[in-house]
Parts: sequence; structure tokens; C-alpha cells
Amino acid sequence: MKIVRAIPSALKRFFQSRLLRKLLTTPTSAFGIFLLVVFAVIAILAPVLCPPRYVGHPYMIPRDSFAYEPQPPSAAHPLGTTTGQYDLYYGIVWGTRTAFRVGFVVTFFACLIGLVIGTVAAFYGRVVEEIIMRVVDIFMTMPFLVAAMVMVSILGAGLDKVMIALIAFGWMGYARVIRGEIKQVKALEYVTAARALGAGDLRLILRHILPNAIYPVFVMATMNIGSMVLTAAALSFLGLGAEPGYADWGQLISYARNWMLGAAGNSSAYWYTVIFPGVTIVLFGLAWNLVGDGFRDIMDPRMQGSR
Amino acid sequence: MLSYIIRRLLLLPVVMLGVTLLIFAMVQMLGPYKRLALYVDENVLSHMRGDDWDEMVELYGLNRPMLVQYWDWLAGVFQGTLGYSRTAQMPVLRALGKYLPATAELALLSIIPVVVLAIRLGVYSAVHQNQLGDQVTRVVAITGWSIPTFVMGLTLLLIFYGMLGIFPPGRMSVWTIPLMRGGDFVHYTGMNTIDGLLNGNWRITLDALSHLVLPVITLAYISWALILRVMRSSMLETLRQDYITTARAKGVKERVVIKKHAKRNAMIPVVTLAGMTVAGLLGGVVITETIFNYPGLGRFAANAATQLDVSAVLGFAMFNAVLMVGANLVVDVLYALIDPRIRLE
Amino acid sequence: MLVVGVFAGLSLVGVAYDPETFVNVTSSGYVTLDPCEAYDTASGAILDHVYERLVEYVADDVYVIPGISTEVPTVENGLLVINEDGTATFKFPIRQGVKFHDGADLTPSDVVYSLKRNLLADPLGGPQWMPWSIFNRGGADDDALEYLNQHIFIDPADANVVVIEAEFYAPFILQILAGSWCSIMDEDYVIAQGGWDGGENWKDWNALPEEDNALYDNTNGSGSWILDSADSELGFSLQRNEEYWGEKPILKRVEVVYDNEWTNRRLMLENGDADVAYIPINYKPQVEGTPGFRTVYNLPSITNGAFQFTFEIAMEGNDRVGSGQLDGAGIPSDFWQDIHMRKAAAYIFPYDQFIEEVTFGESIVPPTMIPTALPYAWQEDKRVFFTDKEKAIEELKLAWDGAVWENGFFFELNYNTGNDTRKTGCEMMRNAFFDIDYRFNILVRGIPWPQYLEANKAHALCALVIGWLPDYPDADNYANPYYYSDGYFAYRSVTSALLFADAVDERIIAASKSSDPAVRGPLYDEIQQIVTENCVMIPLQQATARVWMRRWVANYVYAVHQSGGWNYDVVYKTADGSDGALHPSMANIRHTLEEW
Repeated sequence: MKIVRAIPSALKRFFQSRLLRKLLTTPTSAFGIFLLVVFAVIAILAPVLCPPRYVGHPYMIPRDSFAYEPQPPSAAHPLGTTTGQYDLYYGIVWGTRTAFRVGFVVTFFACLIGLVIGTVAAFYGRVVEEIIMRVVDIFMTMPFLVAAMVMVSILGAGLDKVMIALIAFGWMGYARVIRGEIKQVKALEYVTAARALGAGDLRLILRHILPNAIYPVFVMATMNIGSMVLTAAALSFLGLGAEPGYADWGQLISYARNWMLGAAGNSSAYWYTVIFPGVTIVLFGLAWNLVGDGFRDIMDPRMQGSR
Repeated sequence: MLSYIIRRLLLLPVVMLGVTLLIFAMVQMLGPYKRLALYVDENVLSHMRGDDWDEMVELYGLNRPMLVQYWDWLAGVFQGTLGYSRTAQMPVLRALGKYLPATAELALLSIIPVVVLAIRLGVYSAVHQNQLGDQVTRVVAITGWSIPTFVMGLTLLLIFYGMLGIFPPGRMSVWTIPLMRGGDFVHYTGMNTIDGLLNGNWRITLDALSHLVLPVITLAYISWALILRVMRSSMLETLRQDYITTARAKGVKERVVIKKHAKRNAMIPVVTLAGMTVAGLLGGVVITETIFNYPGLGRFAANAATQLDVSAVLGFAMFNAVLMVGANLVVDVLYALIDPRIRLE
Repeated sequence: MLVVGVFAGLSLVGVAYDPETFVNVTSSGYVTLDPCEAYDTASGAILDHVYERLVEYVADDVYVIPGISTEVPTVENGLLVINEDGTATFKFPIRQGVKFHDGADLTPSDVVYSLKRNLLADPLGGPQWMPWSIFNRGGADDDALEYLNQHIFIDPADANVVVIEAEFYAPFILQILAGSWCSIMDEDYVIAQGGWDGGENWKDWNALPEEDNALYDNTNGSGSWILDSADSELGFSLQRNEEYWGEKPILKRVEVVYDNEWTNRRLMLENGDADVAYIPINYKPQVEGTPGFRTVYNLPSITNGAFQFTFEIAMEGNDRVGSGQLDGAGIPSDFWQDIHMRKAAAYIFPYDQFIEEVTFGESIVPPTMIPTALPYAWQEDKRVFFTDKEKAIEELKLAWDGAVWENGFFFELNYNTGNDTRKTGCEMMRNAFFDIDYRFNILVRGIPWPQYLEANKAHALCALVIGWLPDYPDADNYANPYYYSDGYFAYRSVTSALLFADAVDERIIAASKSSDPAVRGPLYDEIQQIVTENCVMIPLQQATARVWMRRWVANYVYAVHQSGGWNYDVVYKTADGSDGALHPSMANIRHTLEEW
């Protein structure tokens, strides 16, 4: 409610800020934004670019047969097929939707959980904070990929399980950041003033503290979206992600593993199984990194003013 | 300082307990028959019927209450054993000892040249900010950092192994096996590059290196990009500091300003990052090891995780906890030692 | 740059051609070195070469020849006596002068100890049920030691002879004794390793976890090969036993390397670093035509697979059956008990597509689950079910008095992630039914192994794609697991729920107890008749085997029971790397050879 209202005002400040203008004028981050826009367009237009074959299951990649050998690009399959005759073009286009979905959902929930926990810790201080931060420590010490793999082995296959695993082990960074920010803000004068005027705890948090402290969290979240998608792709590559045949980049490229030596006498016979999904993943990661890097560069001293 | 170190070290058992209990609890969410999966593979399954299931559950104590099973494991830890790992087919402690040198070899080779290079380029980039050299370096760095390990690994394998036939995956070639398993070869460190030299067999060292080239490039590129970026931004910030302006105003030569004043102070965050990176690499890099079929800790832990080999995962988690807490501590202490403004509370 | 170049140059250098060392690169690893427990092919491959047994398989066929025993007991040579009460007495004269690798002598008491020790150890899920079946028992009961003392002993009349009193006679008893689970060990050595002391407390060594068995990670056999070193992840090395009592192998050294990345195996074979490699059939297009490669295929195999129905699906908490009613959104527990439903599935399945796309055409669709290469098995001309959409629709209309045709159905098929054959089988079944109409709705989902395992136990899977690797090459080892209502697969599919189950059961038992082809023949014929008429399961494929090797490998021989393994006693490499010929017996075994 109040917190929901806090977000739009923060967003509004972002869009009106020098930050955005600066981002758009720096060549590297502008390129990043451009790439993101391209990906977004592909994702939105997916049903138009690649009409789903299985009614009700648009993420299942169509396959003409079950044959193992990948086929090179042709009229019917513009980017070729990978093992099992999954169409690469379809997989990459719908995989864009998957990527965005994974990125946003995971980041949103991880951020939310981290915010709540971090806020509670920072606000109540002392024993509560100590206990919570130890729990954060414990989670941070967990070997991330291994813990995620255990969780997926337990929950079963499927992209939603992967997202749960990523959220379960991805909230700690946000908790730490928001805690640090709140502690800083807590000491500021206007908070003391508000309290002197009799403002209650919750109101203090939501109305005064959070809106100011949330900014770095927001930046962190933006930069994590890309890395979450890559981690999900990595899990898919290890066989723990989406079910076989689901439009997911990591899975597409995992199929290439057994074909990269090519055929006898032609070692690059199946290059397209690696290159097409690979380039897509790289460009996606690159886009987020360029934008994130732009953020950092600009946030550095000169940003202090517009906070 | 000392009390700080002690307090941090006291954290270690707490963290280890927490981590292992958490993982154990996760696995216990599965019913006993599902946890039997560690002991029953396809072949065994096709020969099971009737009472066999319950007998096996009994045999492995899978139906006891969770805390009893956990206590069983914990008691073992106090007695010095981490249990038996079915995926590695040896006691967990021995498995950790077996795979650690391989991972260490990979980690050390990936980090040492990288740090040096990254620092130099970071300084250079910051000093020549936004000029061509800086732009090029940043683009190369960002590209490296954007390529996920599995994509880079696969592509490198495709080019060098698939098309050119050099730099094979795995750790050693077949012809080294009789040499290394025979009685003459002494495993001093477990790291084949070093052991090869110590045993006077340079061909083994070279074979080990040829298998390491691709995984090291994959890991190094990414570490390098990360460290470069931190070095650069830290250097930029330092160069803006007042004391740098003062030094310049005093007429100190630019090169001295950079090397003597700015660089040293700018390196502080790099120390942190490098330390944590080493710790991370020593904990094993799952994906790189899987792609290159490199028998290190990461792959061992990944296999254990997917097969629910609980003792192995717990053992690995404990090792990782020691690594993380230790590295954090070392980095914080170093930080405090280097920068007198930092006070450890 | 220079450094990289040096590496490049040096990594291209392998090792010169060595005709005395044989390198086999394959996937996975062995599980245990203890004969009482080893059941997988990889462990068996080691034990077969390092240990010996009373009798051994001949190199190129399924009958047995003398091993540690100097003769194979037969009625003719008097060493086999079939008593009036149906029991059988086997007498094995033990060979003199055989030594174990540590120098100790092999004595008849070692033989008796070995057999008893393994039987008493009887690890869970292990192979000891086979030798126990000789005594009509399922495993080690409370009186096991007393029983064995009376049934396996040294002949009081001749200290060199070991007597085994079996509860019945069957020809496959000798085959069971030729398996790695009946390997002969040195009593003193086993005791020194912490094994059973021969005394009353045998239960302390019974049903132990794999790592607690005494010979888990070390060996001391009498065979033609000594295990030089072994790592369950990396591979093992065998060294020729120069003190071997019999004919020594030509090869001096064998290296078996485990590598789960098939691309590495292929490259090793190409470079000549390996002499033979395991290459999965799906990657055949990548390796065909490689110069220097030879492949032998179309070899008769006795591994097969089927699509099996679960006759009593567990309903509680089971999403796989949907609504649990025949209302188009689910199926009831006894869904498959209607013969028309089963026949519909049997007629709709695209057999040829499955064979073509999953096995690259390298298998046939067998008429029943008893492999065509074995005696008493029906041959391909007796196959009943072919892909026929019209017939399938007919049967669908009859199923459950028309309820299926009217409402359709829904259920879920599962495969364990990573198993492509199962996955494709399920998907093809789904697509085939979809082809008739979308109301015949099957959901195919991959689940992790633990979930798959539990679903098996709970009878929660609606249908399964199953496969079987034989323990010994006899029709009984197929009829029992597949068709006997308390057999392995039948147990899971609850075949006992079917009306004709008793009829099949009695015949299977009777056929396993007789040695007379005149008796077994008709019995197996009837069994196959009943199961085909009633469409108990859908046979999907019977594989043919294929091996890949370099052309300098000589004397390769194929034995049906070896499951694609290699016999290092027989095979060797040409001295100069020229082409090696196949074993002469291959002329009598169906095969096709290609080399480039």
C-alpha cells in the first residue's frame, strides 16, 4: 500500500533524472538499451514471429520428427534444428520470453524477500538484527550452484522450480544493502524529527525511510536481472532447468555439447547448434551489463545530487 | 584486532552448523523412498520387488526422524569422519582431498596472471579515461564478462578441440595413466603440473598444462574482466581525491603520483575482490569443470547434488563454509592493515 | 603465443603404437569389486577377467566349458546325477596347481568357502538371488548356514571334488555358476580383509552396504589377468598373469578408461589413443566414414524393451490419473485391464518410427519378450501387432463398452530425465493417440530419478517403458522378470491382477524346473501364446549390437551374453598396425562389417 506507492515515486524520479539522459547519450550503455529494446520487441512479438504449434503450450518447441541428427539452416528451419529436431529459430524467439520472465520474476521476489528481511533487521536492531544477519551469513556461505542443484533435485524439473531455487538463494544481497542504507538513513535528522512528532514504527519505515533507501536496491536489482537469466541458463545447461523441448536458451545450447565435433571429415558440420543460441545468450548478457555498467559509471560521485 | 579475529572465527562453527542443517533439512523434505535414489540405480531397480524397498530403507536408516539422522552425521564429524560418499565411492574426506588439488591447480593458474594483468590495465584505463585505449579495454572486458562460462567453454572447445584437435578436455591424456599410477611417480602435491616437474617428467607437466589451457582461459577471462572493472573505477575515484590534487599541485611527477599515491590506495577493493575470487575458484567451478570434464571439487559437488549424496554435499558445504569465512576474514584483516582509516569493530 | 604453440605441438603427440597394450575407452564406472555384490556390467567386466569360476562361458557361445572345475558335470560323465525326487547332484573335480595372484594355492575348501560366503552375504538388490534360486530360496534365511553346509561341501569320498546339491535341475544352473557372482576367492585372503570367518556369526556380514563388504576395493583372483590399479571414476588397468595355469592371453596389458563425454571417446579412437571405444548409436552419423575405423554391427543381442501397462494404478494422491474416472479427464485404476484398451495401444504405436529414429534401424520389433536368438522363442513371423490405425480405432471403440471412445481419457506418462529412449517412447505413444483425436490426451513429463524411483515402488506410474539386461542367456531369465506375476516387472505392473496370471505362472515355474526340451518347448510356446493373445505388454524393440574399433584389432569375437563387453583373453592387436581379422567363429554369427 504505502510501499506500493513508494515504488512509483522512485520510478518517476528515475525517469526524470539525469541518469536516464546520461545513459542514453553514452555510446556503450545506449547500445545496451538498444539491444534490450530489440529483445523486448522479439519477446512481445513472439506469437507473431513463431505461431505456436501446440495449442496451449506455446513454449514447447515444435519438432518434425524425433531424429537425433541436427539439420543445418534451411527454408523450413531458418536457423537449423538441434538434436531431436527442435527448431532453433522458434526456440530462440520464445526463449526470449522465457528469459525475461525468469529475470523479472526471480529478481522481483528475491528483491522483495530481501527488502522485508533487511528492513526488519535494520529497524529493530540489536538482537533481532544480529540473528537475522547471521542467517544471511549462513545463506551467503552456501555454495550457490550446489544448493540450487540440491533444491531442484528435490523439487523436480521445470522452470518454475528453478526460479524457486534462484529466489531462495538470491535474496541475501538485497537484504544486506537495504540494511546498510536504512541504518545510514535512520541516523538522519528528519527521521529523528518525525519520531519526535510521534510517528509510529511502520509509518516511519514506509513513509520516510524506505523511499530514500530503496534506490541502490533498485539499481542492484536491475543489474541482477541479466545475471539471473544467465544462471538459469546455466542450470538448464546442466540438465536441471526446463523440461526437454521447452524454449529455453540454456537448454538449446546444452544439446550442442554432443555434436560440436562435427561429422567425420567435417568438424564444423553442426556449428549452428552452438553459435545461434550462444550468440543470443551473449548478447542478452551483454545488454544488461552495458546498461548496468553505465549505471555504475554515472552513479559514481556525480549521482549524489539527484538522490 | 585479535578479539575481532577470534569473534569472526567463532562464527565459523555457527555458520557450518546452519548451512549443513539447512541442506539436510532440504533433503529430508523428500520421503525415504525418494532418498533411496542414491543407492538404487536403473540396474538395481530392475531387480527389486516387494520387501526389498523397505529392507533397504531400514538398512540405510532413512526412515529415522530427521534430527536423529542429522545427529548421526554430526557425531561422525566430531569423530573425524564426514561419512561415505556413494558418488565418489570413497569416504567424503578422502574425496575432498582427492579433488582439491585439481581445483587448486585450476584456480591458481586462473587467478595469478589475471590479477597482475588486470591491475595494470585497470590503472592504464583509468589514467587514460575515455580515450581509445580505455574504450577498447572496457569493451573487451565487458564482452568477456557477458559471455556465460558454458557458452565460452563450449565455443572454445568447438574451435580448439573440435576443429583443431588440440587442448583436449579432461585432466590428463590416456598415455599418462600407466606412468602416473605406477609406483615410480610420487604425488607430492596432487597438482600434476608441479608433480611432473618434481618427478623430473616434464612431459607430464606439459600434458597437464595442455588440458588446463582452455578451462583456465575461460575462468581467467571472466575474473580478469571483473577485477579490471573494479580496479578502474577504484582508480578513478582515487584520482579525484584531494590528496592527489595536492600532490600534483606540489609538482610531483605524474608517473609518481599514479604509481606511488593513487595505485596503492586504489588497490584496496581489488584485494577484497581478488581474495573472494580465489575462494570462489577454490570452491570449485561447477560449470567449467562439467564442460571440460575436469575432475575437480565443483564437478564432484554437482554430481553429489544431483544424486542426493547427502554426506558428500554436506562435506562440501562445510569445506565451502570454511573457505568463505576464512577468505572473508583474511580480506577484512588485510583491508584494515592496508587502510588505516578502517577500524574493525 | 610461443607458449601456446609449444603446448599445441606437444598435445598432438600421443604415444607410439604398442601392440601389447589394449586401450578401451567406455562410459561410466564400476561399482564394486566384491563378487558377492557386483551386478553391473562394468564391475562384471573386471571380475570376469581377474577371478575364475567353476565353469566359464566359451568365448563365442552361451554354453559352458571347464574353469576351476576340470570337467563340466553332465549325465554322460556321471558328474551330474538327477535324483528321483527331482533334486540334482553336481560334482566338480577341482583343478590342481591353480594359484591366486598373491601366490596362495586354490583348494577345494576355497571353492566351498567362496560360494557359501557370497550366498550368505547376499547384499540387497544384488545378484545372489540367482545362486539361491538353485536351492529354491529367495535369499539367506535364518537357517542359511546349516542349509548350505548340507548342500555345498567337499565330497567325503574324494577330497578334490566339490559337491553341490541343487533342489532341481535346469540347464541354466551351470550358466549361473559361470557368473561373476560365483567367483572363487581365497578364504584366507577374504578373512584377512575382514570378511566372513566361516563361523556361526554369518549374519554380521549379511546385507551390508556396499562399502562395508570385504572385497569392495581390492581383488585377489586366480584369473589370467591381475588388477593393477583401479579408480571407479577414471578406469582400471589389467596386467597379464604370467603365472596363469592355462593359456595366457596374447595381450600384456589392458587399460580401460572411463570417460562419460562421448566426444572425448571418439577423439581418442580417432587419434589411436584408444583401440576400441563405446559410441552410442545416436552419434553414428558423426563417426561413419572415419578412416581407420571399423564397425561390426547387426550382431544378435538379447537386450530388449517394452511398453508395459500398470494394471492396478495407485490412485491416492496420484495426479497422473487425473480425475480417476473415465470421464475424459482421467482414467480409473484398472484402466488397462480391458483388453481392448491394451490392444488399441498396441495397434497405434508407431513401431517402425521408433526403431528408425531411436535405434537408427538397429533393432527389430520382437513378437514377445523372449529374445528371438534364444531357444524356444517365437520368431519374427509370429508377430501379431503392427501399426494399424483402423484396428486401433476399432479397439478403442470397444474399450470399456464405448466409454473410452465417447469421453476420451487423460493420463500422465513419466520418464526419468536423461533417458531419451523412455522419453521418445512415451512421446510417440502420446502423438499417436493425439493423431486420432485430442480427447485421447496423454501428458508426457520428465521427472528426476528419485521421484521416478518412488513412483515405481508405489505403482503410481500409469505405464512404463522398460528394458532388461539378462543375467544369464536362457528363456527363463526373461519369462520370469517380465511375465511371472511376482517377477520384477510384473510385480511393478501388478500383473497378478489379471485373470490369466495363474496360468502363466504355473507354466513359467514348470519350464524352469525341467531340462527336457520336449517339455520346455511346448510350455514356452503356451506362455508366449497367452501373453500375446492377452497383450500383456507391447514389445517395442530387441536391439542388435554394434561395436566400434580400430582396424588393427584382431580376433574380435562376439558372445551374446557379454552385453557388448570385450574378452581380453582372446582379442589382440596386430604387431605392426595392419588390419586384424575377426575371430573365425564370427563366420557363424550373424553380423555386418564396415571399415574405412
